[in-house]
Amino acid sequence: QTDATPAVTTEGLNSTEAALATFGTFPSTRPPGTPRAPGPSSGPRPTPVTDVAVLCVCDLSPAQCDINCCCDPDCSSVDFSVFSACSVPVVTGDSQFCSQKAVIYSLNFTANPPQRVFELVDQINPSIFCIHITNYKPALSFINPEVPDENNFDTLMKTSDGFTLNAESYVSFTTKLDIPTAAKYEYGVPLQTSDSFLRFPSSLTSSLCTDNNPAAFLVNQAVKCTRKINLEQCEEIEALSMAFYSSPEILRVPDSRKKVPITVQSIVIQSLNKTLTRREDTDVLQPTLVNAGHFSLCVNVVLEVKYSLTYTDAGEVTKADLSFVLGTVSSVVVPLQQKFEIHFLQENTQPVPLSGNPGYVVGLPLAAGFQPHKGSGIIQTTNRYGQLTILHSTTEQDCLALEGVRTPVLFGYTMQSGCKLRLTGALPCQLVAQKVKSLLWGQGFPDYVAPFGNSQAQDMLDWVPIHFITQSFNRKDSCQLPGALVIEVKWTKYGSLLNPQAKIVNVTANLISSSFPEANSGNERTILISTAVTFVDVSAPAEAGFRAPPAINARLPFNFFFPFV
Amino acid sequence: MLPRGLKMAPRGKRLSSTPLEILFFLNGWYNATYFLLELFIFLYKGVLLPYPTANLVLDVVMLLLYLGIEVIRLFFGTKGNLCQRKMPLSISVALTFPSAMMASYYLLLQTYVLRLEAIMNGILLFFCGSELLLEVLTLAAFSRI
Repeated sequence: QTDATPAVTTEGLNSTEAALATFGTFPSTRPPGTPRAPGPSSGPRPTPVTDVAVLCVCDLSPAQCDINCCCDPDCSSVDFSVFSACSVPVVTGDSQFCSQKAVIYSLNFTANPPQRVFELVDQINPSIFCIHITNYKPALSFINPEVPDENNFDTLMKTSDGFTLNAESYVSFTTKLDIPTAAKYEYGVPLQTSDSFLRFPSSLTSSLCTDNNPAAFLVNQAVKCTRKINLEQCEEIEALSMAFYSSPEILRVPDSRKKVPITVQSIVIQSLNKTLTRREDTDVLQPTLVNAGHFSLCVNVVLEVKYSLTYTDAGEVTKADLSFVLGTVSSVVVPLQQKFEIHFLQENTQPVPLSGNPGYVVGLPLAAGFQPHKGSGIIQTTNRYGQLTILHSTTEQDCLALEGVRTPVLFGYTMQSGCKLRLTGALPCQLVAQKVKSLLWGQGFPDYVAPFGNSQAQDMLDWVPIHFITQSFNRKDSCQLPGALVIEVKWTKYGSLLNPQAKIVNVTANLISSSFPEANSGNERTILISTAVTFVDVSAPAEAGFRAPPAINARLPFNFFFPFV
Repeated sequence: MLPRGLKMAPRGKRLSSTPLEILFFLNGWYNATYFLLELFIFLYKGVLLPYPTANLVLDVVMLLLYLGIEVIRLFFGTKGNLCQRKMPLSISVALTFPSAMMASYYLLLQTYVLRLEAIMNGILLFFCGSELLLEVLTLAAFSRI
């Protein structure tokens, strides 16, 4: 036992001496590197350390021992005693070489004090594709970038001539972009006038009017905004005068000399009690302040502006029409509300808006019409909101107050409306029934409904006939009084799954009647009549499936093995 | 009937060296395998190692040149040995030295020498050395006619 202990001690001393010798080399390496720092070759960059005996990736603190860093030269025996293991046990060179130096670090806790074990070994790569000899030294490190100084600056500038050429290209590109090449208006381009652009006031971030909003080509707009005005200065506010909207001249095409004047087509005067009067002439009127007793009035104030611009398919503006609604503003309603509209019409075309293309769009009215006699096409009214209508509800719920006003049936909107009818005594049942029917059906209820939003009137067979059903609950022979009209529209998704189009496949109008209530001759009764429209989606759900895999029908010809068989 | 000056060996007196012919035969097949493997090794090194393009082109061109030298050397060696003629065999002996130089280049001086290449070029050098010795002995035997 006594002999064994000195042997272990001797081995420890040898390792310590080897470590000291190895780390003795490292401090001597630094002083020669320091004077070379001002040299042009190395520059301010540090010299890379590639020797595995000196390389220590966990030595992150200068002149201080890093915990568990066995290769740190700043650690002493006192530090080793608190180490649990080596964070970097092996430092090796490039693993692609057949033979490479490797340093193995470990801790000897049995010695007192604990010692660091340093072993420098040769690791053998058993792969047959390892690099036996390398004759290309730059492959072992990255290229050292050249630091510019007064000697090589001109050479580096010549090498970087491409940057200058790129800059010149960029300048020419920018110059090219500045040249205007547009010879027509395009969608969304602001409409130009002789001084700047056509102003279309809008409420951008709040409800207040913003006057410097340009009107964009082919962008139909209808906006309302509020304008705070001082009534005493109404004559000076140019947004209230007609000239502000009619005096600009629109350029025919961008940056051209041709101008299109804005012509005033109609002027409607709205009085204080909201009556509308059409003026015969189209002279430009000015706002005028009138003092009438205790309050002031400002007449001829612009309330509504409506532009109608006609353009060609070449992107030129050929005509500009303007319609006004002028009103009177009193000091009671000083926050003034204005309405602005702009529409674009293509030249030589009649604008007929569709309810979809081809499928119906939710919120647009249904297209419906009549077939006067067999074999002819469908006849529709020009009012697309009056082709299929239902009863219009009012706040008073009086059926006879607004008898002719109807509500259009909009696609996808389930609606219900109703009103009350008061019956006095001694009214004949037939007369009441006839009146109620006319209220429910309206004037000119259609026979056919278009399946698509863009169905043609001459394609008679495509249209969907309306099925009329009369339903009564009592089977008595007494007079039947209709009470409700229920219109059910069945529609389906048609075409592609990615872009399904709504198609109407069935329309049913169900008139529900009940018996006329018998009562005394002197009593009054109130009946309720209603109409309802429901939209039912009858699309079958799409089912995921797969095609049948092909069956291999392999039949060899009878003489396949000729001449053997 | 033979042209004047061309003399056949006496019948029954065969001076060709069988070990030399065996070496030429094995060397031929080995060279074919060697060049195919070298092409794939250059592909491997070109893709995975930082190989300069100029060095790669140089090494591949020299490989093709080496292939030409080997084909000529083996052809003349086989023909000289089987026909018992000294001139083709002498040409083969002369070409053994550039062939050995090329094998030494690929063993020591190319840009990257893999262990597989070191083994293969070592075998090639063994073939060159053995064939050189046997060719010299065969030439000596031919000269004793």
